[in-house]
Amino acid sequence: MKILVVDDSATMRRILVNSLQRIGYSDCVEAGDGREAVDKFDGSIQFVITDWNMPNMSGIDLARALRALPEGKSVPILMVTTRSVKEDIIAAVQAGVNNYIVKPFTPQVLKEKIDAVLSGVAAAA
Amino acid sequence: MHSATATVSPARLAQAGKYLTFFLANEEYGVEILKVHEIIGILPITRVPRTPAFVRGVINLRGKVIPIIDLRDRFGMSREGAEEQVIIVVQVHGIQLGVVVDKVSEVLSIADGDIEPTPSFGVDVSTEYLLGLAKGEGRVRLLLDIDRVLTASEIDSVHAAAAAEG
Amino acid sequence: MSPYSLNDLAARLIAFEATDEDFRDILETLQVMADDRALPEGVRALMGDALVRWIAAPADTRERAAVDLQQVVVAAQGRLDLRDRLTVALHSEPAPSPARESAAPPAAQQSAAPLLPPDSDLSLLTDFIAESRELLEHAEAALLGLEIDPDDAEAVNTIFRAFHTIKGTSAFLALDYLNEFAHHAETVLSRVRDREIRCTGGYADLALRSCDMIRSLLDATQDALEGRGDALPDGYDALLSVVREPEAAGISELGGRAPRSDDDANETPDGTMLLSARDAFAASERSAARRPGSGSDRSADSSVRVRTARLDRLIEMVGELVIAESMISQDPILKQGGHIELNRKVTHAEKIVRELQDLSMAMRMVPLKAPFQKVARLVRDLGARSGKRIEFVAEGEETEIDRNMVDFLGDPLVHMVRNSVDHGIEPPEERRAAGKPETGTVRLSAYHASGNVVVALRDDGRGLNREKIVRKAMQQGLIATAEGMSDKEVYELIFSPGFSTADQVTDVSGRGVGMDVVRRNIEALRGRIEIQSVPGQGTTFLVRLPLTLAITDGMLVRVGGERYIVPTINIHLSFRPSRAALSTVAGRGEMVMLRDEVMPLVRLHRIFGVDGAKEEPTDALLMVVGDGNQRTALLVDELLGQQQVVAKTLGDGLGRVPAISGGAILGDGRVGLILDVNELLTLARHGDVSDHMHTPSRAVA
Repeated sequence: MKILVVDDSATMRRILVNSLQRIGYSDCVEAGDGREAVDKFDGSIQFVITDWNMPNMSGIDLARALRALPEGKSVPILMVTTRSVKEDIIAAVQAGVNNYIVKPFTPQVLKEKIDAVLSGVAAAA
Repeated sequence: MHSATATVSPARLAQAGKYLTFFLANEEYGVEILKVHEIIGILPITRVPRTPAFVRGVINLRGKVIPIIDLRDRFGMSREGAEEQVIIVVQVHGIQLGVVVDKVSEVLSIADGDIEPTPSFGVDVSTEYLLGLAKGEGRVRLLLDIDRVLTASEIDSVHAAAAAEG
Repeated sequence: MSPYSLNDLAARLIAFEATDEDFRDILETLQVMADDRALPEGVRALMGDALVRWIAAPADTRERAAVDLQQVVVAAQGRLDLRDRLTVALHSEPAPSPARESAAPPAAQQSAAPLLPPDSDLSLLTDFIAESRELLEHAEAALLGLEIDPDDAEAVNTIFRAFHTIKGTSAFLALDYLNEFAHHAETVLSRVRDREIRCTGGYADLALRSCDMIRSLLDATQDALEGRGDALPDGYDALLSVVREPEAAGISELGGRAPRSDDDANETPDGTMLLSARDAFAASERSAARRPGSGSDRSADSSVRVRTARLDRLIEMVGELVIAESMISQDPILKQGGHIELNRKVTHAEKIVRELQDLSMAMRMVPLKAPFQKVARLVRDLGARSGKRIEFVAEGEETEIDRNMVDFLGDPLVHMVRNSVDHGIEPPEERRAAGKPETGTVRLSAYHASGNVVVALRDDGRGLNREKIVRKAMQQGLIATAEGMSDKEVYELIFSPGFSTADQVTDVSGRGVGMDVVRRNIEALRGRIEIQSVPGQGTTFLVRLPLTLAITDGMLVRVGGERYIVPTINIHLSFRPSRAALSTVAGRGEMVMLRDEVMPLVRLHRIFGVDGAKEEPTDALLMVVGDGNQRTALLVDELLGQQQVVAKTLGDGLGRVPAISGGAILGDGRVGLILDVNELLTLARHGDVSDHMHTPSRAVA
């Protein structure tokens, strides 16, 4: 599965990519902001993990932008955040985010989240 | 312009020379070839809000944005049955504009003897936009004063009127 | 401790009656629990999942959702029980936040807990330290901006994001001290962001000290990494207790000092911010100096003269190249997939083209030195003529901007400075009587923030006179009454066309040129101007400009079948309103409430006469645009994404089209129209939305 990892922090991207590798996902594409993510997003991306608070384009805006693309209508989107504020999560879900995960997390929890999102998407399809 | 009435300068007369002819509905029109910049196929037109109805919008002409004028609307003709396959890009007072027409016919040499003055009735187009008629090969072509067509004199006169009042 | 527990949740579920109120109660409970660090991660994850499902549950399936949620509660309880039995497993859970644990600072643990966890990933740590230092530089530069404009939401967000990112990443790296400190610093900034407090006085000082402390912690971590010791920075505990409970430590918007680790001999109670701000400025200059073509390294280079027309043409051509390139990379054939090798080549070309674009833009960037020097001379001359004593301070004159804009910036700057000198700075005797130094200060500063250039002109004069402005505005019929108008709204009136007071025509400022001209000039540069003023303390003009006019950062939005580009500089935020936030006010039209702010709702499709657009705001999106008291929510169908566009005129043939500043070629080759937001809002205010078809604009040629 090809995963697009979006975070303005290069360190966070490394952490995510490392974690993903440890749970068996080694095909990752990185993007440093929402704009780059939209640029890099194509039909080959099967999963998107994005930070919430990024300069220029927030994770929520990114989700909206991806949902507007023909290839992005149904791609699973997982949002990474440090706090689960109700308004933010509601906004995120409305923008098309499938689920979110709170920092910090272990690779195992990340795996559970990804599995949950994938099974949810499969169930909805 | 300082007067509230639209001052129409004396009509220019058609001169002999080469004309590009094209169709709008069933009528054939001619425009001086020197005014024509190029002929392109129809391109997607972006509508521009709050402009007169005869302004269809703008297109991307190799990176340059140019306005597109709908001659049918300009002449108060119905758009029904319009084929709109071609845009004629003309240059008027140094400004490029596109004109949507049904199809281009030919480039025609018109001699002095073929040109007749515009009759005051009997044609769809207001006579102030015409330089004259050209007859030949059993057909009549209306020769357009494209400068005048695209200079929107009545709109200028609206401004002039407003300025005169204010 | 968390106000909610699994037991609360279970109790609420049993009592659940599918009302909106019950629904919200459970939503809130889930949200608090999902974020409760005292709970094991697995339980939090369960609550988070449940929360997402709960939000998405349609109203008629809430009963069903409640039953499902009960299952989740049972599962979560199982996990909690498991944890109690397997206390050994506890260390695999992230440590609960020390803040929740107890109020005692972790001083006692200092020697016990090492700065660096034993199993650290060294290269990851190195990256983290470098990245965090950079974030701090941005935060400090933004703090300087806040000193001038405490309400600058972007600056607040920049600082918040720095703390937020450092907190989030340090948690992964198990850097507990850093994590805890950044957590509290973030909390303070989130209160600023939520407009609970303003980042001025003691809070601004605290934020700067927090940056210093985080930097010291990073240094210490680096030292530990290189085996040079494992000591917490001096003053960690003291500052931690302040940042944890700022008010308890006497911090307020007016003042209050955060403890410092080192003594500064030059320090005066009100000199602290200034000094720190200068440091922050130096930091922003340092970061600017790393960019190619910026001021500091120019002297070392040799140079060549190029005709500007040629340079402009080059930049225009590169703009075309960018568009042509993006048309290739967005070609459906490439998007189909399968052409891996070709895709790779296109991506490579794309990268080169982007670099070329950056480079060509940098070639036309010049420092603001020239207009700044013009202002310096002007202040001296004006001061001498008016008998006022004025010190002029320029900061950031190395800040670069498109040379095509520099010339147009001169005039508005001159007007602003005249205004400050004539009306702001008091004569020496008046200043003395007010207990101020006889010499007034006019401070002109410039810096980059969020891809824009900010130019701020600040004086320490008497500030704007609300009563006088109100009187003049009423005389001129601009307003009927000032009742209910905030000071900010009143100050904005000086930008109204025709607002010029008789007092304004003085010997010095000459013909009494109105500030409306200044605003128009700034808006012509696609910028924004704001004013801030405190009676007796001074006035600040804050001008925010794009780096260049050649390229616009825009948001592509869809309205019905049309697409428009809204310059990013005009957009504050976008949101989807709830039904409850919408209302119609007699005589004022549709309004929408965002947090505590009520603003007019303007339907873009009505103004532009677009068919087939979404009519229902709760299905569509609102973009908050405009300045100060003119903030307006613009209804659009959806955002299509952010992009840079090369702005072009619509061709001379069309003349000036209201509310459209130009066009740009989009990725699919079609023309997209760039909105002129200020004009659009003027149109909307005048309410003439019906005659969009036959407006007598100067039409053709």
